[in-house]
Amino acid sequence: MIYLSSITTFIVLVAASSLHAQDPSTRCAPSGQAAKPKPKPWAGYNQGVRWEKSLDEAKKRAAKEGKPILFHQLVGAMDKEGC
Amino acid sequence: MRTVTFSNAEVAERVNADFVAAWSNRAPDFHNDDDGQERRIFEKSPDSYATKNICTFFLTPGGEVVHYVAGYSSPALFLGDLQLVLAARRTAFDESFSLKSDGLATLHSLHAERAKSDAWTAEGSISYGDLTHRHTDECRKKHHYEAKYRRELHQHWSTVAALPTLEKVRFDYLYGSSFTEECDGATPVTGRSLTGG
Repeated sequence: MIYLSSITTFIVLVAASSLHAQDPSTRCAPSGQAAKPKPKPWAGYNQGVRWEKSLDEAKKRAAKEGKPILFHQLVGAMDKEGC
Repeated sequence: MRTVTFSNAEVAERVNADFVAAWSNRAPDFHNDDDGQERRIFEKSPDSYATKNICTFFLTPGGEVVHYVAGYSSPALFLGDLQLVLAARRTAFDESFSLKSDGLATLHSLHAERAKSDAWTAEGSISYGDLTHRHTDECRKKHHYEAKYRRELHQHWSTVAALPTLEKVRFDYLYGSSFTEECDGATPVTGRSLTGG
């Protein structure tokens, strides 16, 4: 029973690992290194700033409200966990 | 930026109250979910790391750039950038966000004033996840390059002949360190380092 449970666990872990590695949105390096476990996010992680969906949307609201735009350009995604 | 600065309550409150925020990934489909590099940056440069990898632009609603700063800035430093842009909004532009007749000269003065002040004084402590860095006299001495970047960046802005459009500087800006995560599919950044880094 324990033996079967261990095999099942092993298969699930391998499948999960394979899926993670195939997801291009979680690549850890341009050279395609193996994905590493996601770091555990902490309280308040990227929770503070309200982001518009696009720069065009930001321009529309900024024009309406007379506010400057903060446009953050990065290599990565702000709506995903990690760095 | 997002794990420290944009997660800081004071920064978020100021951004949400006085700015309209948006972000863009210059390498679509790329996302680094390993925090090792950020932890190393935090341990070595907890206040500023002006890498060309990322850049935060401040724009008018029409898309003219009033200011930008490359790389990571601590909450305390970034609040200074927000204050500068808000001062520019109040004094260099009219109600409809058009540049006043003397607006460019006003903007020059604001940046020139920042260029004269020695960038910042690192004080207190700053946290990143489970890490906390407490500033000491010794670590303040390491700020030379980051301070140089900010000083020369403000000097540059204090002499611009006109406000550039985002399109003009979006991938061609002044940075400190040349570190970047550019990969296949990423729009490369040109420009130059102000620190030789």
